[in-house]
Amino acid sequence: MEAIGEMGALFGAEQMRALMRAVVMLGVGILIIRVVMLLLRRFGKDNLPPQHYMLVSRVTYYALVLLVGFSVLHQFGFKVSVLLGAAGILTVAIGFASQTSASNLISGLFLIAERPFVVGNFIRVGEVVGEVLSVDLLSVKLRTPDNLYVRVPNETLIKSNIVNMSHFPIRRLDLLLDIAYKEDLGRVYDALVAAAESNHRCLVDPAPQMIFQGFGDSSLKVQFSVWAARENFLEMRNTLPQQIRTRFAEDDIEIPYPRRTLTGSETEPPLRIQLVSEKPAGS
Amino acid sequence: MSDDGTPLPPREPWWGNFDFVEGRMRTWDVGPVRLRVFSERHEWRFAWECGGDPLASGMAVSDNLAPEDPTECASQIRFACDPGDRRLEVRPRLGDRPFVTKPEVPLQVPTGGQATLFITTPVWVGLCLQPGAAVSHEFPSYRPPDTWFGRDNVEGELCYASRTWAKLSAENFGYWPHRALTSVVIRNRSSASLVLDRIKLPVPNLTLYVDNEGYLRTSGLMLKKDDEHDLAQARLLERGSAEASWQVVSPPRVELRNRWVDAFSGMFG
Repeated sequence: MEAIGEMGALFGAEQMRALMRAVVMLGVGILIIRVVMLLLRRFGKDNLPPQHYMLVSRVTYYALVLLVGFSVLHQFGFKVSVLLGAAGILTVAIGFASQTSASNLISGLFLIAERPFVVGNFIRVGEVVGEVLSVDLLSVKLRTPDNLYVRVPNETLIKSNIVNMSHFPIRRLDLLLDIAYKEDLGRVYDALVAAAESNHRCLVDPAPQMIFQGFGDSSLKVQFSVWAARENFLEMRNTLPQQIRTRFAEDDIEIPYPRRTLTGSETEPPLRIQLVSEKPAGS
Repeated sequence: MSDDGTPLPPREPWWGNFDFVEGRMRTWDVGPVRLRVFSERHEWRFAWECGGDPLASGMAVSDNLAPEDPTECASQIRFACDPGDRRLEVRPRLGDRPFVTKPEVPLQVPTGGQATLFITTPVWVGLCLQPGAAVSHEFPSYRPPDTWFGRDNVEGELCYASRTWAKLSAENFGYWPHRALTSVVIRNRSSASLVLDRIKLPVPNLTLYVDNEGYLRTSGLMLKKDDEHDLAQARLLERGSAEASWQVVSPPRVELRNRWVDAFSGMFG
């Protein structure tokens, strides 16, 4: 009390009352912000999509902080209208100076409205592949499979092709295979289907397909396409090749190495071949 | 029934409550699955393999004096327990996803006709550390392949596939201790012949029973197709007088509010 009395003597009674009001207002304001955020978390988290919840909670938080801040400043005699006017001029100045941020902000609004992905999806943007951690107003945060944190500006996302690997419930795996020319493609198809049937992650329907891709330099090119549930895709991709290899080995189906056939020209003499025998030891 | 028409004694069930002695092992050979349970002082240890012949019909539950090496088994799990806990419940359950059955040859039900199909599906082996308690762990007696059931590759449901037998008589089935038999009554009230090339069985909604002969059975289904609805309508059947004496082995995984299974987006393929 003595200290307050000393401060009152220093600032004057009016300023002291304003300070007290500001402190009370700040305390009440912080309390209200906490209660509102708590209510929002309780009712919004389960009822709103994750990125909508994040957006609503951040906008609400910053709006309340600004409101409390203006109210506190008002107690000290700051005119809010003057502050807002100054803020307007400042916004124009900042707007010119931060066009990229403004662009990211508007791109963020488009991303939130369009929803090409949601929090938790696995996406590929350019070279980056990762799980979406958050969709914010300026950027999207990703976690890569090797546990790196990547921030992708929203403007980049709007301009880029986004591949969402979690959007549909099932995915197709395309395996490109080389088959020796001597092999019968019917037999190859039977072996591939048998390998797929031995892997319970491969969907029975849509059925596996073999698509002929062309006559290669050293082999027949075929594509074997199988489907799996999204969550089992990686496991299937890692197990099916080994099962195909085992099946091919059982059925004597050859996966050829690249080959080159050398022939001499008709106008040139035939290639000379010299046999060199190993000398017996000690001779 | 035997050849002379007299009822056969019921087959011994492989499920129920089992008492153990500390340090001993018990083995279940049920169709393609081999389960070994080790009762140790402070833990239960379960080891199983289910890569056997899916059509195997053998069934034996035996005590083993000398515990085998559990590390030989493909899958294992351990549970801590009190030294006094020596009672285990083994409970068969129906699958955790619907089954899509494709008859080897598609069956047609003519206009105004009715057919009763009998379809078997593998059961899951549930392990309860306390009799009557919730299942602590479960595994399929035979792991069926996955399949997709839907109008396209975007909308649908992940199911298990079963290309087995959609037979028109229950008598034609042998005894498989690891498979449950479901009867599906199909009524075609539409103006066109109904081709059944695949049928989805919503097994998570069905109750598993054991009949008087010891066979595993499920609640019956009735499907109706008419011209008014694009979709086939399916509902669970009440047990008739013949089935009244069946005993419940395990309740449905997903209880239905009414007996209608779904406004099926395609019970028929």
